[in-house]
Amino acid sequence: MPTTQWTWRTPVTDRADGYTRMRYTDMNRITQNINYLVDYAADLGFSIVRKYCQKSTWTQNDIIYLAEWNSLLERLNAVANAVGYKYEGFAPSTWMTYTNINNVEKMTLGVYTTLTLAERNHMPLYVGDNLFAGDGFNAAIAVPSTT
Amino acid sequence: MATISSENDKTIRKSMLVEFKMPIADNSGVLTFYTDSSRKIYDFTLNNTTFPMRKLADLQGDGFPLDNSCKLYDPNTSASSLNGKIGLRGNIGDPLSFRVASTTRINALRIKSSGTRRMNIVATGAESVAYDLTGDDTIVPPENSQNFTVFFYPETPETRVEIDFIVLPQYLVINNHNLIRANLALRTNMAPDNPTWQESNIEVQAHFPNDMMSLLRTFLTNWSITYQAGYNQQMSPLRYFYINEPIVQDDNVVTIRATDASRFMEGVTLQKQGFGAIGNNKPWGAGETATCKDSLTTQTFTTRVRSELMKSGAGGVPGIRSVIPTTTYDFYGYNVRPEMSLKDFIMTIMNLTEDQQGRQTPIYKFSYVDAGIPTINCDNLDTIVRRINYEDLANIERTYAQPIKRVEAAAQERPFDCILFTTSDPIYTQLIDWAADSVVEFTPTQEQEMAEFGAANGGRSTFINWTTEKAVMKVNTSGTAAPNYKPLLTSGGTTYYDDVSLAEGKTIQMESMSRGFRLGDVYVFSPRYLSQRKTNYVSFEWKGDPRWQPRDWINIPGGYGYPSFYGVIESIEITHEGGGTRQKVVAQERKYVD
Repeated sequence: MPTTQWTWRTPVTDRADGYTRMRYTDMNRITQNINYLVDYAADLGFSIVRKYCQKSTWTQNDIIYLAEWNSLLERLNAVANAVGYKYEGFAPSTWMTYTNINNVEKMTLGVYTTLTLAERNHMPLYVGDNLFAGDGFNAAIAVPSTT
Repeated sequence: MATISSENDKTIRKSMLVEFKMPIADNSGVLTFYTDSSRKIYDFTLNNTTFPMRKLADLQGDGFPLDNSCKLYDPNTSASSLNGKIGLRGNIGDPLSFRVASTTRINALRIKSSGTRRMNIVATGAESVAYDLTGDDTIVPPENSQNFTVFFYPETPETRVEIDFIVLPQYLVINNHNLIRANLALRTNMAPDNPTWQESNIEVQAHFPNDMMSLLRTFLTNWSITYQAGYNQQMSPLRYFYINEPIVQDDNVVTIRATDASRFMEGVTLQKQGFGAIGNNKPWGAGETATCKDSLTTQTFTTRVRSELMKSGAGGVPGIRSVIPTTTYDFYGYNVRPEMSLKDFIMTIMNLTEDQQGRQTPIYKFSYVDAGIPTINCDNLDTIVRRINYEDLANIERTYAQPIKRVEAAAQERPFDCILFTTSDPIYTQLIDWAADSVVEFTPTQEQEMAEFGAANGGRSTFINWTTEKAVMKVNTSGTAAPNYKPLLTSGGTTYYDDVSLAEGKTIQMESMSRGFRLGDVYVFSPRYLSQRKTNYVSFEWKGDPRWQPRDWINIPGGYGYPSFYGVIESIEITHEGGGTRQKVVAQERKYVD
């Protein structure tokens, strides 16, 4: 577990329709989970700056600014890239739809799972473009003759 | 795309938009707003009533729906009809206050708000005045207010006050937001004979949560109030009424009563209206309308109606002829009887044109300005026939009158109504001769002929479609018999002279057999007894169409045990109440021999 002021809360990923409402508690969970993931990744040695969402504590008096939401998306993408997690769904955007918010929270859950596995194996996962497994060496190996 | 027609085709339609407007005098200052630290966000659009409020990703209360209707707030997005606006929004649970300054004294303020039900106005050196709000309110500030501070209080501790706009209204508006009940009675004069003027009126009840009397007192008698109803994509014509008694507010309910412009015509003669000789009147083109609202248009109205009446007659469509037609299109220098009242004149015109009834496409369409005051429109293509089915109607009543078989002229010395002429008039002798030599006969083969008085053309004969019993009256002026104004009947090839017993129906007496008016040296007539046939009625209720008006034609195909009906609407009562609309219609049957 990382040394952090943020607490991980289980993401909500099963919003079913547009009648679902976005509350300040949802925003607190999303932003603080992202901040948690930033600290978690940094503690495990991944290459990421400990920079948090522009706004991390929300109340009923708040109106979500475009800049604040963009900051949230930037941090989420940064930590995902740092740990090498690639989200299979649509990339989260600025649309306030239930599917988009599901995607944001699914992505935080995916990054969290990746970091948990990395911590369990006591080593950072390989982060790079390709991983070569040694094929091609076979031709160079001298095979002892049987004759 | 909601229209009245498309909504009426549905079994359950959307609630109809209803709007009454009364102009507010002396409320034309310029407002300036000074916000303070109590606001959260704003964008200087408080005087803009057209931009919609932008729905934001606002976490107040229970949050916002995730249906893409709410946008992230971007201070760099300018207000527009497309982007919407921010207005002025306060902090959650806190009062929102700001100062308002006007260049002139404020008689009324219109405030559109949400998240609040209560506000106070504190003018300099005056006590605070409290107001209740309902969302879209016209309020009356303390007297002589020009600069003051307003405080809006949130509805709950979890609610944010949002102000859409604050403006100086040019109209006091009563609409679905505050309307309790509205009754409109639109009437016309379609009595069979000697019609009396029918006045249209309205009664409107609306809810205003605050004391409005200081404003309502400025709406004096004869102040105008307009009415419109329908849907965004299709509203009824704007109808004007005029307040005829003081407006009252009792327990937050304001009651307004008004009538049409009829009373402005009391005692007004054509002479008083400046009706004089007119030269070089141009013909009335298809699609044009004429109105009798004022002096100028009264002249136009008269000229063009008469012109068109004659034109229609000359054009092959049986119509009303003048005694001395000049040409079809050109009329120079004539006078209408100056002592004729405007009301009488309008009724005469209306009934003259109504005498062309019986045709599927009436030539003249009356529409209404100022409620009961007609505009006449000459255009076959513009004819309005309201079509409706019995299945859409309720409380249907049909009444039938006894058919008329015999008409007698009671006063032989007055064969023509509405005509004043002297023995010095050159036409006098001709007219008297015509009347004196008349012999009335019938023939069943001339049913579709209308009256024609064509002395100038040398043929002084008149063909009149008379009863529904396939009897047609013929006036033959070529004989030398003694004066005889008693019409005689033929039916089935047999002629019954004066034998009432052989014909069903009743005998009526009329003071005169024709009616009309004089335009200088020209006389325009129509056979008066035609109107006697208009005595069958239908009345019904249905969900209503606010575009309908008296004198519209109506067609109800037969069904559900009722015969088909074709006629003209005589009166309409519209009621808007509880978000619904209903309409009662009375129509007079128009039916030729069939």
